[in-house]
Amino acid sequence: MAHKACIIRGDGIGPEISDATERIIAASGVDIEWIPLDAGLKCVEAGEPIVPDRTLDKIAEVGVALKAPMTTPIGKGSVSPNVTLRKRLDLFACVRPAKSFPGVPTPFEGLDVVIFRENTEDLYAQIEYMETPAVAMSTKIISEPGTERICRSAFEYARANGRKIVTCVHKANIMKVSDGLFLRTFQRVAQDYPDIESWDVIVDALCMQLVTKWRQFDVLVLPNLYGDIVSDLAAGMMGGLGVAPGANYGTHAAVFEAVHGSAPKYTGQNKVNPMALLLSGTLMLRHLGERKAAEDIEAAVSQTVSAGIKTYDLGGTAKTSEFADAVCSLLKG
Amino acid sequence: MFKLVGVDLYLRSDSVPELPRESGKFTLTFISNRGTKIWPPPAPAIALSDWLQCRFESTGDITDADAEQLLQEISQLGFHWTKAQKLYTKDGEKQYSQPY
Repeated sequence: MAHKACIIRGDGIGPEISDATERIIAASGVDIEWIPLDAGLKCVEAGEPIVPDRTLDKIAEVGVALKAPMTTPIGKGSVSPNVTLRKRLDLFACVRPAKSFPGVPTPFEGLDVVIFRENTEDLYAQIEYMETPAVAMSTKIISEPGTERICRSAFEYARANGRKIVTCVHKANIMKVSDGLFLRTFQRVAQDYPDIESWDVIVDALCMQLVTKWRQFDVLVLPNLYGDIVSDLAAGMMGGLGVAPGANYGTHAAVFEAVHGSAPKYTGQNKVNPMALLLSGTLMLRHLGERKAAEDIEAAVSQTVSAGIKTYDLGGTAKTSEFADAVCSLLKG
Repeated sequence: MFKLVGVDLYLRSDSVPELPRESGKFTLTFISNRGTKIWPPPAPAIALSDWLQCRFESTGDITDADAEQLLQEISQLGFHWTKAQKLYTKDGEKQYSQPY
């Protein structure tokens, strides 16, 4: 029986990498009934919200979506489609695996960390005021329930995936109240997982250690802002945003996404690397219980890249569709 | 010109409070939880913290005394507010953020 999954094919290069991803997943033998949904620039141009309510409702109903990059219009009053999805669907856990990939050049051999970023609060509540004509104020919200659910997700992931250490990343030495609550809650949750080691580290020290002693880290759990920054740092370490997958999990829905932008200048050139969306697709396949297909796709991607069939960002000359063709032929063979 | 146009009242509440839609010169325009609008409906199915942002705005001229009267009325109705934040416009442009 086919799985059902929503798909937002996005703006810019989104449709091209979506096509590659859908073809490769089909070649893996998994039957997915894709439900295309509207979101992004064309909605804005039609006078609708960038993520219409009907799109949010459908994702909530189906429970799973794969999302290509969308363009956030520049200008006052514009809202981020990604933040809209995360907040309106309460996708509280942004999970970003950062792992060195065979064939993708990186000086960080052996990198293998999984980042759990809290997705719904912190400064990303986006509650801001001009207090005077010269002073702005932004509200950092850290709640105990919000922290508990992201920490528990990180520990549960560690336990289910044979991970040994969960590290809480914070700045509680300075923000003793807000980050202090995050750290205390982490320490309380950690007591329920005696089989997993729990560490904590200050965010600036983490950044330094991550690029010097990356092998010592395993699972990281962070408040929203630090998680946003550190997950892109880790993406760079694994070879760039073009190869970095992402997933957003809530209690009732999960949205899988490439973390890079819509690269409008490359639209229609059949040029960009589809790996980030494809690897997000393999996270989706695991979520759907299709672990074998996910592993097969990852192995085929690795083999393809190692054979030198890679897009320009990895130093190759392959077109998006040529890369997808090569992966498909390995899967079908 | 920096002009007072409203007040964000932050309430401690375990549920969506039944606040008056109108109070003095103010109209309740939305209630949000950690930046996500939960009133007026439709409200997304999100976990709520016990701290709610309740925005009261006015289209007419208001003063600090009007804001203080709003706080008194909300308190008298039995709501527990933890923080009040004045809202300003500058040359007609809002100097505060909107919820998702």
